[in-house]
Amino acid sequence: MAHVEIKNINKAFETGKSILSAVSFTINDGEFVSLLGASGCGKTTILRIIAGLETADSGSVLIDGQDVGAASPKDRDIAMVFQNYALYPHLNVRENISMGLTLRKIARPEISRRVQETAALLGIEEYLDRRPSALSGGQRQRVALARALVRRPKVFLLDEPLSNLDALLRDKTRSELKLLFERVKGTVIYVTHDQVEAMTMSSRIIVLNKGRIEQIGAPQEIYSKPRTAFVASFLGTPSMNLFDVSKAIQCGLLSQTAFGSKSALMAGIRPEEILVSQRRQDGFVEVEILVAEPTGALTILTLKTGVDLRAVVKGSFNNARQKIWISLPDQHLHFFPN
Amino acid sequence: MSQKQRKQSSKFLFFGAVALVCFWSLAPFLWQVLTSLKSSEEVIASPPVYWPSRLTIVSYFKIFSARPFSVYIWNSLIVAFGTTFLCTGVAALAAYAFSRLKLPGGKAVSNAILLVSLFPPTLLVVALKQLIQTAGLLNNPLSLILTYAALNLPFAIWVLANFFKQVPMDIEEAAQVDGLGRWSVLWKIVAPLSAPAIATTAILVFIFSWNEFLLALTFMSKDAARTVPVGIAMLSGVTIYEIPWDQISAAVVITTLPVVAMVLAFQRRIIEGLTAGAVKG
Repeated sequence: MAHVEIKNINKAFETGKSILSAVSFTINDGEFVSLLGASGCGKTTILRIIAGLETADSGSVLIDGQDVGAASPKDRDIAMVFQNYALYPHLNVRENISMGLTLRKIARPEISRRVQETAALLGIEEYLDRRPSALSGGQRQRVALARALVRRPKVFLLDEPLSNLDALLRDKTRSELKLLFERVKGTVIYVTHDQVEAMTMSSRIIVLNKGRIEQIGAPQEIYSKPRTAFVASFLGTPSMNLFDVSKAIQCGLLSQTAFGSKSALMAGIRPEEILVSQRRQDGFVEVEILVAEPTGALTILTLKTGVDLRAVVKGSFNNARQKIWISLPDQHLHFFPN
Repeated sequence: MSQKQRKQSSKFLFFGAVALVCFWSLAPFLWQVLTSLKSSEEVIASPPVYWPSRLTIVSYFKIFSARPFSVYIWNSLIVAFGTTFLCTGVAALAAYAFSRLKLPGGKAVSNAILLVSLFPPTLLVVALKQLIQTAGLLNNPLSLILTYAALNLPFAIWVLANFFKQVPMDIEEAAQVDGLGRWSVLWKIVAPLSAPAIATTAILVFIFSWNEFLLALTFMSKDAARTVPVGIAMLSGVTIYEIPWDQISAAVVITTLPVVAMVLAFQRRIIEGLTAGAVKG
């Protein structure tokens, strides 16, 4: 297990378009860290640079304090799980899993013991003699994981390993994965575009946008204290309401006296933090409901105000009059430079 | 006509047509087989005898006893296998480089290679003969192996490079992470996954080398160094006016067998869909 340090990594396409700029972060031993961002934000590129499959234009990658910039992927003692699993189609599951060990000249009995152990951990013992083509998507995914786990590498690199599974299996596998890596005490770098995966599995999240790090922090910290408007809007469903303070003052949602000094800023509030009342109350503003979307446990209300605003209320919502009263509590407001 | 009858008659027509095409293509070979089994008198009889009155395999014995036919076959085997291994091996390396490594000017070189293959070998005969002579390789099977390999390389590289490109990059990268170097990735991952293409290339190169006549005739002047096609062409009777058709036919039948065997041996490999299940889907 290991400590990974990324120092000031920059990379650009041959055309000159920047993919990564000044990316630096540290991952501690045994941590599960997610690289979260939209597609094209450079998260997979970071993973590939750590793996040694791509090289950075500048900057360095340190594993356990050693600069691995010049080392080939096989000498970095990392294991990677690919989005498409990338199993060897001409080899059976056992050979797929043991490939990395065989090449590292580990004794045969030791290999078969470890393959057996890992297969048992992932529940794929009965498929060991099959070819990948005879397996379902979920089973292939487990084989890909087993191939990484069996090596006991310093660092696990996972590139959207759940994105090819169907929704139900994905939810189930998500919690299994978390448990699995807790049990093996692995240092994991997990690339995903799915905020739910990042929130539920990680000890820390690194949010990326257009090749830059927007924020690094524990999931709850990133959720409750987003540092930029991008982070604020990227995490949470439905996403945080973002609006100009000046406009909100104009339509009476925020008071001029309290927020006049911040009128140049952008404000944000999570839909679930907006207070909603069916009756007129002090300090509440009357608004019209445009759309009410029941999702079962919650109902999402799109409101007609001077700014785009969505609120969430518990349970089903019945309001024939299409009118409610809302308030934006000060303590839940976030402010970002506009 | 009922649905069933129509189906049956269309099936009958289909197999009838297939049988006709097979007969059409195989007729010359059948004629060779029949001729090789006739006695010398019936071979030259006019009007021609289609079905021999008496089957004899004496011409098969003659080509091995009266002629150095086993030597020709041995030479051909050396040349054909040598060419196949050399050409496929070199082509695999070149194709991998063209399909995966970002070489400066790689595209230009790969196009140039294809351009070279447009020259008909006939144009090159004289120049090649001089080269081989200077190298002191006349009557040496190496001369044919090198020339055949060179002539077949453009085609082989082209086929293999296109196939290698279809091997998902992820699989190669997974192999690199697992600990395979470039060489092992090629031999342990890319080549097995491209087995159908490699087998096809090897068969075609083998058939070319086995059948080639012009260069073999030019480079191999000694009887003991000749390959089968030249050997067959050089078969003559007691006088120059006598052509031993029965022996020629017997020789043709025997030399066709390795090619048929080769194709049959690799056929399974070609059909086997190895790349299925490589990635999701």
